[in-house]
Amino acid sequence: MANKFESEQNWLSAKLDSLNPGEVTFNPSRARTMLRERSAGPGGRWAWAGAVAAALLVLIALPSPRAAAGRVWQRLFTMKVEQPAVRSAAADFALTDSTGKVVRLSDYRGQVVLLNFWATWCAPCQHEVPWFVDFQARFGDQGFTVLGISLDEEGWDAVRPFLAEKQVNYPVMLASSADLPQPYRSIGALPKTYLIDRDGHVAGEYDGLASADAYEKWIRSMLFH
Amino acid sequence: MNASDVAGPAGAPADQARLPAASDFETQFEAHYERIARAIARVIRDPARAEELAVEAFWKLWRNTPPREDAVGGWLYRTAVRLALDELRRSARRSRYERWFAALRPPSTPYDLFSASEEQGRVRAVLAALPRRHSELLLLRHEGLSYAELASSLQLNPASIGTLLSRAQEAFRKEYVSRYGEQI
Repeated sequence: MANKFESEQNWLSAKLDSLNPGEVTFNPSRARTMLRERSAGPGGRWAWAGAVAAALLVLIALPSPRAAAGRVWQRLFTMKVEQPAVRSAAADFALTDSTGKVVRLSDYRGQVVLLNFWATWCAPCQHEVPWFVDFQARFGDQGFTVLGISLDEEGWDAVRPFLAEKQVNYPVMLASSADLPQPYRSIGALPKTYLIDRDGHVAGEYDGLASADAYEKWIRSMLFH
Repeated sequence: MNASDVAGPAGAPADQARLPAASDFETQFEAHYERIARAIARVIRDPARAEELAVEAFWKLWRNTPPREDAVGGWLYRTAVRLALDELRRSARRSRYERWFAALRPPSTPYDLFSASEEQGRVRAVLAALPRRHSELLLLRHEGLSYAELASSLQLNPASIGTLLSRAQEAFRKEYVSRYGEQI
């Protein structure tokens, strides 16, 4: 009986072994590129979101559904917001910005900080940057600053041209996940944004693309109340 | 200065249950990608398509609530095998339609002509014909998953894995023999 069972096992094993693909090599770099393209390009969830956004823009233009469409827009794009009842201290870091200066989060104690993790290949991240440039211009002399941390693997060669094109007016640093302390090291998706109060505590987090209005409302509440 | 040298208290607890950390994802990708792609290629034959489906499996890992860290490998293999079996079944259905329209059949690809042995074709045909649970169990076991990993990735009672595998093996044998007449 045992021999029959073993024979059947061996027989089945041989059948499945026949499927071995042989001397085929698989290219992890190509797979990584495909994954990045999916997260940022056509066919990814952001392309779907973009198509929905275009439809909503039409709705927003109409007077009667405008407010409803605006609320739907915000629900769709505010992926996840946390505003903890008890604020914990934001983890400090020391990273070099695009000018070569070392920037520490703790240098900004006393100011409201919008800390944004992003990358040039992340389409929604690109969408947010002009908002942050605008916030820096309008609130930068009122005790507020944006700090950007790029997770671009290609380094400054990829990031500097983007900063120049968008005329970014706030410090942007470059890091890999391994260089960062927790919880930043565990950031799983971009963009990820923290709002940090004047005492250096995390007042809120956004996962994903939010709206400029939501950010501004939050910033104003921390600056002026 | 390395940022991680700076002492600082942990920030506000972030909800990490929804997505794997980027560094953990890279670790899992490095550990499993080629084996996952090879496991898919065993089922569907076409290596280029196998790579695409392997990317799909990792994309699902990225987007969905991840399993426990120690269960990620089993989860990936299960996802990969399911994608491969779905592709195999689609291909089998397509082949049936193509036989009806033999004059319109597209030219064979190099893989049709040079890579597919008759035995491979038979084994794939049987896998496509079996209930998916049977094929999944057989393929995942063949990939080296333990009984515990099979139970975890397929959400089965661990005590039942032995019985389920026996049934799957018997189903494969019967289907193969009924189609091709080979005796063990």
